[in-house]
Amino acid sequence: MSARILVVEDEPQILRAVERALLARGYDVVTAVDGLAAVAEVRDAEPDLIVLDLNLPHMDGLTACREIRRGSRVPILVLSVREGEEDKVAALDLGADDYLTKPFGTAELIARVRALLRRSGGEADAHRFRTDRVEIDLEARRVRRDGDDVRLTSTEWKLLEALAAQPGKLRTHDWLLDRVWGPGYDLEVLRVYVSQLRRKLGAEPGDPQIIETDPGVGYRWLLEPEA
Amino acid sequence: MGRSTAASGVQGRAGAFASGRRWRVRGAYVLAALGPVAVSGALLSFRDGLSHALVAFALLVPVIGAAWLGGMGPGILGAVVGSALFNYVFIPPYGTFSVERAEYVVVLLAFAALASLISVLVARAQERAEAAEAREAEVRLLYELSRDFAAGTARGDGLAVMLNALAERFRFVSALVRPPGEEDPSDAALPQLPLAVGGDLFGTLVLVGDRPPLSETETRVLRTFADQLALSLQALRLEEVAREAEVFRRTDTLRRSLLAAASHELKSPVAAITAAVTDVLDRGSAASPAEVADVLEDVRASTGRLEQLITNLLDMSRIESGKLVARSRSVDLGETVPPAAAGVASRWPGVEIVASVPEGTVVRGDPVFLERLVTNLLENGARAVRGGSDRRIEVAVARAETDVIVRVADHGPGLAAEDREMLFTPFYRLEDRSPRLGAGLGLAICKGFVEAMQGSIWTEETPGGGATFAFRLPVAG
Repeated sequence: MSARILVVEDEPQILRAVERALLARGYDVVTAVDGLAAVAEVRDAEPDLIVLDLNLPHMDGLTACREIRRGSRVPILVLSVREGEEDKVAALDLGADDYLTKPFGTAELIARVRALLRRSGGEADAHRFRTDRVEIDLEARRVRRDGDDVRLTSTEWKLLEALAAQPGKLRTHDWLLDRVWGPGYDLEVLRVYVSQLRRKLGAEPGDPQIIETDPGVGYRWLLEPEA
Repeated sequence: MGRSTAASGVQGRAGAFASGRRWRVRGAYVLAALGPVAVSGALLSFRDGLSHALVAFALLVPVIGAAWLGGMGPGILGAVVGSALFNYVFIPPYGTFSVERAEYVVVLLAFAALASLISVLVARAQERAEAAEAREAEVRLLYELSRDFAAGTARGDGLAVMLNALAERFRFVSALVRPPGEEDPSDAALPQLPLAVGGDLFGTLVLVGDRPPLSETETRVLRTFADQLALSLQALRLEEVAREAEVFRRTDTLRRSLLAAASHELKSPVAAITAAVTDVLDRGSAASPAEVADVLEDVRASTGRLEQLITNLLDMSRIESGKLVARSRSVDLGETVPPAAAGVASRWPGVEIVASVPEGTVVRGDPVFLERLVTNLLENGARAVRGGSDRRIEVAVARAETDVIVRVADHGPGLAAEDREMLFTPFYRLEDRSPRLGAGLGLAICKGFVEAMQGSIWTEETPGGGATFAFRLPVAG
């Protein structure tokens, strides 16, 4: 059965473009044009993922996001023309999983949708990841690069687990700091550890194959879990 | 410093007024010196038949008079002159200051003591009476001015009322406040008071008019009210500063609103175009010709909206800069409304526009403005009804005496009472908290165009629900 996606957008042309792109990839699409209708559709249509515009009539996107999160863990991909980092962080803090700034290409939209759907599609307990050079097994607590064991410190392990637990989800700086270090730590600590982890996992600088940076907001785990 | 110089100016005038009193004192001295002489002269011819008691009483009269007029000094002088004359003229041996009998010494001393005592008592009583009168005048003036000032404050035109009251109560022709640094040298001869609170000078009170110099009491009251006036001026200054800050804050808010709105409203059509076009490019030949046609239709609608927005932004800047001049002539609504309706319909697929314009409805206006006006009202309606169940917008035209009224009625959610006031303000938009250019800018532009054509614009409720925007223009000819 194909995944059902609720698209919430009040601009008709954008709504139609997103709908067309998703339908063409075989998704089942439900639409809503305001925040109130979106909350109702989440209840009635039980979508597997929501694409949510922030600038909506009747109930704005952030409020809708919070309302939806009261009763559902469905992944939410937020769309907005607002570029400010604080807007992104606000949406993520209210329960959004990822964020796409308008204007966007449909290829990027589809990639984000796929990533978010994978982790909700019963693979939440997936723990093995693989690239052509690296194998990661979270359960066995083992990382291999080019066939050799890589030693990670306990903090690096915590960071790896926090990021990889939900592939595709954009994790904010504050969330990661709080989860791995606890309160009172500086952003610089996170930056240093992320770059250390990237190096140990064999990622080239500037090559976001495994951990992607969302400037000013946070990090996103890009690897797909192995079935 | 400035305060003390001007205050001494007032005192100087008060001193001049006190010279009236000095003249009275001089008169009293004259009375004290000559009064007993006159009385003595009158009684001289029959002094042998008079008792010393009667002479003493007669001599006391000018002494008491002098004391009453001029106070203690003239009284004592009168007592001395009276005693001397009593001795010289009426006590034997006549014509000398020597005294025949011891009992005359007692009579003389008793007279001198009595005259001095009466002088002192009369003078003191007189002083008290004057002080009481002055206090009463001061209290009355204070009361009347307080009432005037309170009335002025209550009516909101405080300063003018206070100055009028001051002038009237002090019997000047007028009172005015010179702002600091704008003192007029020609005021130098007039009573002036600095108006200061703490160390801040708010101006100088100048009293214009010809009247007797101010008394000490009046000067005191005047100073009290000058302080009151200074406080009022300070309050006005603070109000002004607060108002300026508010204007600045609003301008700043507007500027930020414009940025936020421009960002949203300009990017949305671009986002629609990008999403539609990249989808077709990504799928390549997998996209059907029908889908491609749909995409192109959406792209056309989005570029149309972008063009509308850019035109609106340019119009708004012309309106805001005051450069909008209508080239009014006769315009047939039948030639203006349908093309505008068709344009809006192409940008808002799914919205149905029903325009019924009777033939030959000719108004006086600028054809370009009129087209932009109708287009913006229809765009506004299209935004309101899109996504709704009833997506009809009706344009109706009615004659009202020498005017034509055009109504654009939608069946959308309608207008909340609190929104109506703000509707025609740039960047105000209903329904969401974020500012948008769309409706807010469009309606502000409508207002600008209508007013440039000497017309008016307002909102009504659509019968059965929804908003109606109406404008009125004069019939041509």
